[in-house]
Amino acid sequence: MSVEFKDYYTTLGVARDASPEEIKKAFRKLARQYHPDVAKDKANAENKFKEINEANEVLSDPEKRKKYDLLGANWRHAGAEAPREGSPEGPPGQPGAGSEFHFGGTGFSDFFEQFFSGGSRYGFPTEGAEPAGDETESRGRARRGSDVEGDILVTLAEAMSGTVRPVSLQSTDPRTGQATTRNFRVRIAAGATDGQRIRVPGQGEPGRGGGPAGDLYLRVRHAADPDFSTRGSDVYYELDVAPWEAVLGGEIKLPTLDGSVTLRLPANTANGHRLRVRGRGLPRGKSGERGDLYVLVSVQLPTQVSEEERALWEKLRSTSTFNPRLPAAA
Amino acid sequence: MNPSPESTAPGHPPFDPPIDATYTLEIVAELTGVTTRQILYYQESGLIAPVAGTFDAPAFDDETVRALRRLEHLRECYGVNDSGLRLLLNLSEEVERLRRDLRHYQQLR
Repeated sequence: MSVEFKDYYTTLGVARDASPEEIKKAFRKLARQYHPDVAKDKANAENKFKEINEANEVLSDPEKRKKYDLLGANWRHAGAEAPREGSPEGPPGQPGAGSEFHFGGTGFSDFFEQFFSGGSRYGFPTEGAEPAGDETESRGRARRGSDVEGDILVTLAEAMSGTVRPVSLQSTDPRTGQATTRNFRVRIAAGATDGQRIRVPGQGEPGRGGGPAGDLYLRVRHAADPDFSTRGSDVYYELDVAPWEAVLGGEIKLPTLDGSVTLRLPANTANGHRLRVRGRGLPRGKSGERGDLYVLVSVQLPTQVSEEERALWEKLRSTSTFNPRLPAAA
Repeated sequence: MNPSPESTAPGHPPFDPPIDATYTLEIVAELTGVTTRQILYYQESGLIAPVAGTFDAPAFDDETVRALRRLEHLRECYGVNDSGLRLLLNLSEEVERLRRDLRHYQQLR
């Protein structure tokens, strides 16, 4: 299989020693620019959005980033060993049992699949463990094929309204070296949560000796979004507010996954406070119910102030009795 | 039974997994190749839990089907005993939960 090396640092336009904050910032900026909802050239933007997401998926995860950095220029060589991590030889007496899997249409590149989320068996590292005595005792006996698991990248817009995705799964029989590719389409139901698994019957490893094929489990991964994150069916949005908005309160218009809402910010809202907008999260099953939208208030300070503003802050300093380093007055 | 997903060619309907599907003991046995007796034993040991139904006539979901296959895989391929299965099941559930939390917090600023 010919796989192209992906330079995730170039994709995000950050230095190799970029801090997690720099990576996050770069991702947000690019994700906003190429967000499929706003971009003019939709098809192009969607590909770019997925590329950015994949780079973010690796570089924002300390473990994955470490592994990726270690691969470096030796990635092609390292790739051969990568899936066997922790068990270099595999179980004794069972050389290279089981087929190799390769996904298409999941939203992740071949490179990512190979190193970070390639088709694993039962969610365990692919190392081809076979039932004891398989080769001699049960030769000719019907045996069910293994289940295969893989990830599928789903944007929040897709999770909101549901979608149909073409997926392909190529399996290579280690005995004959023959590769077969199966193509199919899978419906991702509206409201699919991050981590949810979709069972596709009969699309796992083929059975042996007339046994049935295993199943394929596709695990939904929500694409990171510049504005929203999810937890189950709930959606989180970080709302930047000015200090006076936090103190005086007010009405603020904010985006949701479907249209905008006007939020009434109460007076004296603390930094980090969480407000709930009921029923504006992801759909919950077929019931028509929906998760909630949580708004996390983040008080921002101005980075530069005019002469006039400065005079007002000075006036506030001389007038206010507030001292954050003293216990609150009884 | 579910129709088998076959092709991306137009005219072939996409595979449409049922939401919140539940299966009887017998169907789960058929789906997993695990005997009904063994499934009931796993249930009694607390390794799997039904989503509905009674103890003798439980209803399971797709996650149970997956759990059963994983249990059988660990038992057959690695000779893991009941205590080991419990340990591995709990550990992998906890790792999955922690990873989910981690992803959530990483996405927030």
